[in-house]
Amino acid sequence: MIKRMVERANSDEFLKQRGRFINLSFALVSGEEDWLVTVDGGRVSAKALSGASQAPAFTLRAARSVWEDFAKPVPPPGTHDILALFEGERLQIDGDALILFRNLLYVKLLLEKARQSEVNA
Amino acid sequence: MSAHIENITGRYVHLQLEGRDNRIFFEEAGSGIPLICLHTAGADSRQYRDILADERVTSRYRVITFDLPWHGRSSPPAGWHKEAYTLTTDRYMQTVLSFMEALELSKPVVMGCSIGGRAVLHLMLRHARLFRAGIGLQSHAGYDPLMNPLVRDLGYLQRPDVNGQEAAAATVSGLMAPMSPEEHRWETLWHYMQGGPGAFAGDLYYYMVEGDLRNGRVAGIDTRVCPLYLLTGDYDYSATVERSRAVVEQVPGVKFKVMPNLGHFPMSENPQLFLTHLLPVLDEIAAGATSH
Repeated sequence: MIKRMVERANSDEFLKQRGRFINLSFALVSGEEDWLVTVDGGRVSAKALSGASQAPAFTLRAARSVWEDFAKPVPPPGTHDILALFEGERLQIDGDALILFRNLLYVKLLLEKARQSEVNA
Repeated sequence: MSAHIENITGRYVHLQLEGRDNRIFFEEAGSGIPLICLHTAGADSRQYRDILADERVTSRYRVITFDLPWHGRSSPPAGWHKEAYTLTTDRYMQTVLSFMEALELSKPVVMGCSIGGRAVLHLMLRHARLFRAGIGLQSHAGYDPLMNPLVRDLGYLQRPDVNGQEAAAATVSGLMAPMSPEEHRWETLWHYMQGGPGAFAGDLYYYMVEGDLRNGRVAGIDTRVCPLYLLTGDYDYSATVERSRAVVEQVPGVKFKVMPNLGHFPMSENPQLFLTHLLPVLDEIAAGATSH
């Protein structure tokens, strides 16, 4: 899921353009696995959170099955969006929420890249 | 070559609201039974663009939709720069009734979505005799979003270090069904990106706080006086099917339908799919109008 997201994000010229002023690191936790996702002027990379020298601005944490639903080509209602998951108490937001909301549109577009095949793409 | 010009007419009407002149933009198309359409929080009447353009509707209904003050092309009244906008039940009701009076609309159908869907419930409670029917889209009595403390404490919809246009769009993007056509989802977001500073948050005060109807009052709606239809898309995590159903359970006679694969903005995010649900309702209302 993370590999797919990073590859697609870096080959999407529109998303790269959208992210050109974004310098951000956030954590994405899926069950026992975690990644530090870094956006550097629109260039996206991801590595294991443990051992990373940089601290994430915020963390999006959910069970592995939740992210699997999120990444389905047609995600079921309530699993299709991070705020939907948050309202449904299936995703936890920790850290600096202001930084998340400052970058919310970009972060959502980025996470959509994790979807198995993009709906209506 | 003939240009594609839509049969929609846009004009302005001046309404005196709370003693102040408000220049209100409205659009209309069609003839027949008046059908007033109320837009969602932080958006404007463009959400009904495809309803206004559909001959199956306009052949029988005079579809009319207006921008609330502070929204779309209805600029705020003079002095707006010295106040914080908040929408309240009284203000909303007064605006709708003043609009009806100004256009001399007799027994219209009123259809509203989200805050407009709440307004339909309030109109049915307070003024049911003035309407032929109510159609609530994504209607519910209220809830306590987990997002509320974030919205309230961070104030992220209107602060100088956040792009409010993008924040508003990002806040509502996930309320839509992911399979809704991309062009319509993004047009819906464009409307949010064009909202004036504070307008969306001011509307949410009505949706989340002042206009809350979880006080048992919806049970006072009498569908024998005015028929009420509720249509709810199942991808909406704010106005959920369960929250709409809670209203249905309190109001005898409500006709309720779940709309699969639609979200919080059915008329805007996927107009053609929405019309498959709306047209039978309009058929039924028109048939009732004939038989009366």
